[in-house]
Amino acid sequence: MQHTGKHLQYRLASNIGCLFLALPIPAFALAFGIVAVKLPPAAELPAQPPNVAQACGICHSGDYIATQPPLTQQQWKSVATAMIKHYGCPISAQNIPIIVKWLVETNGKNE
Amino acid sequence: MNRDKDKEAVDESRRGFLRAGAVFGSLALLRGGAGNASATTVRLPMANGERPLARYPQKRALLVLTSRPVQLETPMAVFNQGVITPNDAFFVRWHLANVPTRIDGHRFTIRIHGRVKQPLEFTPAQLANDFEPVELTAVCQCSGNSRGLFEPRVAGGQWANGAMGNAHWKGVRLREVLDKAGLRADAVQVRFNGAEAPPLPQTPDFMKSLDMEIARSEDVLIAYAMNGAPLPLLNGYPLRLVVPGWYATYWVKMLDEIEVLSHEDQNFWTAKAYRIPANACGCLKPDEENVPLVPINRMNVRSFITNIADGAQVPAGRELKVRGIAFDGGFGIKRVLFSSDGGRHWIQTRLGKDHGQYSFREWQTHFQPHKGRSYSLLALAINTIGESQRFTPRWNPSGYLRNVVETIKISAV
Repeated sequence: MQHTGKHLQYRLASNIGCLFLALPIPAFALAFGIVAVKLPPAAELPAQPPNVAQACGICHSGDYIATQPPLTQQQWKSVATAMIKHYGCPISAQNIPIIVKWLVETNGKNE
Repeated sequence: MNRDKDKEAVDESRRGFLRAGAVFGSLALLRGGAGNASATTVRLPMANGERPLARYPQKRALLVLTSRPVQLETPMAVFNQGVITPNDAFFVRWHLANVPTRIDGHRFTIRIHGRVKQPLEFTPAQLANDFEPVELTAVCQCSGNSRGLFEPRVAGGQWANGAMGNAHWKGVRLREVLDKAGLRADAVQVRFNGAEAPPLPQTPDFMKSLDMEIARSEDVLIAYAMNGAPLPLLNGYPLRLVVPGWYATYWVKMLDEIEVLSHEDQNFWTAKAYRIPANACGCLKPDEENVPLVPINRMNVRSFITNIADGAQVPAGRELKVRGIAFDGGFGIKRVLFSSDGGRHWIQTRLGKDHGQYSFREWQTHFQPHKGRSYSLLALAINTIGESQRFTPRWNPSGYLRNVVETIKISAV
């Protein structure tokens, strides 16, 4: 499906829940009802992100960063560059060092 | 959130292991957890391996890798409880942040278009009624399953071994649907698109393509049922492509569009992502560059010991049962060998019931541990065309294709 704007916006509800509007299905019959779910809130970006890092949160919850192995400055730079080059992340090239500095401080390692 | 249920899941995991020490899921009761209201955290055997154990809609408590888009890992204990992975325990992996949270299965349609004579559209019920139902059991495994165990570590989704599951799928043959639309003479590939969408228009939509020969093979299905029930929303309700033997990246979820192409797909997700080194190993050295790449495809052979955790202490002087699972890319498991001495001696294990060549195959054996001694337990699977697991882990920068013989270290007391 192409980009469809607001009506597909991820709905981040404050509680976990699952709402079945369809009637309960005994065993399995060919019933394709309405299934609606509420997902738990997404993890926030870690460790006081700089303003420009809000762009990371357009696509990713903070656990995308926190669960990576500690990466070198060069590795985090490659990640940030790929996000711009391949995925169209709206960060200007001059802000990459700011993002990378934050990523290295948050989850980095020496060369 | 149902704390009691979570506690049960944890207890169940504990019972599944013999006094687990360090683990593929050592269970530490910790407070908090990244953005999740979970009280329990599991520690996977990797740096930054803490994972909240949380319940998502239609799911039991699973390991949360990421929360937006959602990625959930199945605890290894689940694979010891039966050859079929229950729907509520099945791993979850989405690529793009806008995953629909409400699907009307009556109105949902799948559209077949592109290089066909007659573009068509079906609701799930029409597909189920108009085509012959086909059922098969097949493993769905993420390309990056076990990526977190790569050394040196690589960036990407940091899974341990639980980004896999084995389900009984029911659906219709893709080729029958393609034939109903009628392929044009220049049709060479088929591209699959699901309802997940990028939050930015410039981000490539997640689509995957198969060569016509693969797309038309007998066992490729558009599935509308999983283990006798509609698919959980997070596993792709109401329709999902099933490509038995191939990595899960091709098993497009919430499948709503099939486009027949007259050329090789140039979309990012097939042309640039999910690619492996074009050599027999699918591997390279960490500093090697400019290696030709090909799209990831058929799964390799793997096996796991599922009833004993790494670091466990086991009772000495009596028979220890060892059991597990094995699977491959669709040729079927021929045998599984077991070693209790780090690979110096091997014995053949007894295979469980055959659920078809795409399914997990259970196996079991036993040996007698002696007091005060330590053991390195290994399982090695071989498929019907002679492919087996590697003894040294392969490395590639995307963290794909891991199938090293895993080692479980235990001591007898």
